[in-house]
Amino acid sequence: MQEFFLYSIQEGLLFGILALGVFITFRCLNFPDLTVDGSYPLGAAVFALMMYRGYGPGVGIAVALGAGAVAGLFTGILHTFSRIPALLSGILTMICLYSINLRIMGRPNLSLSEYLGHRTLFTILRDSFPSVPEVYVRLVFLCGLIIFLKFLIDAFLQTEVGLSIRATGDNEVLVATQGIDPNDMKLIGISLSNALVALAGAMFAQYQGFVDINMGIGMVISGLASVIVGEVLLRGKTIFVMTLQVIVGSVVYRLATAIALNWGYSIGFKPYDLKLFTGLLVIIILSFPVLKEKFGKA
Amino acid sequence: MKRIGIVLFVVLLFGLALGVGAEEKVRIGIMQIIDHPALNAVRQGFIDAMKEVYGYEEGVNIEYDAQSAQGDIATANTIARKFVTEKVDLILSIATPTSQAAVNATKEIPIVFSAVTDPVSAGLVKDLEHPGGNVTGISDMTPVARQIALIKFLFPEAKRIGTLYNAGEVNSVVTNELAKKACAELGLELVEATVASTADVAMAAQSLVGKVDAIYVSTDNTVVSALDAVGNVCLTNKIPLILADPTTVGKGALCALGFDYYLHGRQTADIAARILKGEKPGDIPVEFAKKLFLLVNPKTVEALGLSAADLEAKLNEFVKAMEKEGVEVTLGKLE
Repeated sequence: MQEFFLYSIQEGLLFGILALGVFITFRCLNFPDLTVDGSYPLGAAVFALMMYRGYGPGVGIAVALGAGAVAGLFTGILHTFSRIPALLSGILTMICLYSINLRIMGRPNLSLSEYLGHRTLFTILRDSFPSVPEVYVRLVFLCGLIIFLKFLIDAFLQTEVGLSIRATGDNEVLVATQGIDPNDMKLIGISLSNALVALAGAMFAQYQGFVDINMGIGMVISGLASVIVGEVLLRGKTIFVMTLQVIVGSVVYRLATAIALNWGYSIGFKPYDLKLFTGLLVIIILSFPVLKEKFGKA
Repeated sequence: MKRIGIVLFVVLLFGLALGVGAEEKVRIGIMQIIDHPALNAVRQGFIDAMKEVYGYEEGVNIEYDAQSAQGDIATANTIARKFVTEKVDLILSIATPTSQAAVNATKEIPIVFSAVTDPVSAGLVKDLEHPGGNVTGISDMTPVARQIALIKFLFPEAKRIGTLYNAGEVNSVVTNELAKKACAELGLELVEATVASTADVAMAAQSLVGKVDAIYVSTDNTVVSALDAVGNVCLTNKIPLILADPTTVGKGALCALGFDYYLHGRQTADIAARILKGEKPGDIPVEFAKKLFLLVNPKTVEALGLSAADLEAKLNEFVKAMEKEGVEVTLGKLE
């Protein structure tokens, strides 16, 4: 059973990368970005393409990051230049990406199996530490990766550009009076966010050993859920705490779904109830402050 | 407190005694990508054959944990992990992405896949004859070339064949490539219409009207889910519709040549039973459907203004030709 938790934690850390991306748009920029459902499989698709072309995982990840940034930039341009509302801009990019991802992959499902001669980051890691169980190797690596990303993002958000991005989310008009173009900040923020999301896609593709065109479905929701769960669990408004909240939230959220799948059936839980469970979990957490206020007063 | 302790101890002993006395149950984890009639039929066929043929009765000497990923790839991975940590005796994985998730999750627990069209390019097995490792199964590769040949045989004057499929389904993309090849070999042109969801199917079918002499639909999940829409368009415009799945021939199709997914599940059980008896999955070659069905829909025959007697004679001839090649075919009529 312990092993099951270890795997859920791994997945939580992997999705933590995606959640950090969602955090930048959703919390820093106040921009609900639905591009995620398309840029997540985009990262995976581009990564797979590079693998099939014979490149190593390093190149695949670099190209995935770039592709994600371009996808985000596209959404940003739709919003800032064409003045299309935020939600719609994301949805439009997401729809376009479905066809683009199919084009990139050439087919809807690509295997990264060792049988077909692919060596992903995880197989390389496993072979580098043959005496350590694979699950621990992955766990240590993923912890390292997410901590590295966390501090990178923390540092970035403290720079002048980072501060301007956060200010844009709070008050666009004020930012403009300071001589900063809020549109530029949005473009940078959304690109960065989707680069992270695509990285998560590329990493998850390696983790599961294949890419499927439908792997992006519901990713925005799981990213948002992670952000919100983290905020409820950990208090604090500093950047350091906020990014930590996202990572913790992502791990807890994955554990919750794993537990629902694992023990839910003993209380009459059916596999198709999972989405309802996810929805209810987010609703309860979102309603938490209101409930507390109402019942706290009474 | 002491008394409670004693009671608990007795209960524990009793439980242990029961546990030792009871026969060890075989545990099988079943995972499928989504609830879908064909995939559910595979699962049911598997469970039925395990009971009727091999004496594995649920709750008695076998236990199933059937899970569906509801189309969510991340969930498929979690389900696979669940089975691996519970150390089930065997995993039955239905459809391609679920099988990939299972294969990625364990190198020890035997995996039997089902309803996977191309197990080699999916990275499930290295070789169909000698899978090696802990994985084997059954491919639902539908006899595309025979289906196209049937269309040409029934309608020799046909030049262009229309087809609909979802470009997002890997199995459909594979069968479509085969259909294109089969058409080219027979001097036919394949006119493709792709859909992204069931909502697009009616319009896509309509777009083929006037461009094609017959429509062919393979085992695509999206199009089959909205097959009524295709059937309506075909009946209204008097276009013969030929399918790969005999179970859906009632939805306005003229005939269907293929296998039954329920029997597919039963055939999967044969493989699973061999593994439970001690054979290594890696030594069992990947199987294909053993039995084909050719099912005609008399209502459509009438609606298209075809002669039932002529058609039957032709179909009989076609079946005989296939049987000469060693393929077992059952010719039938929809009631």
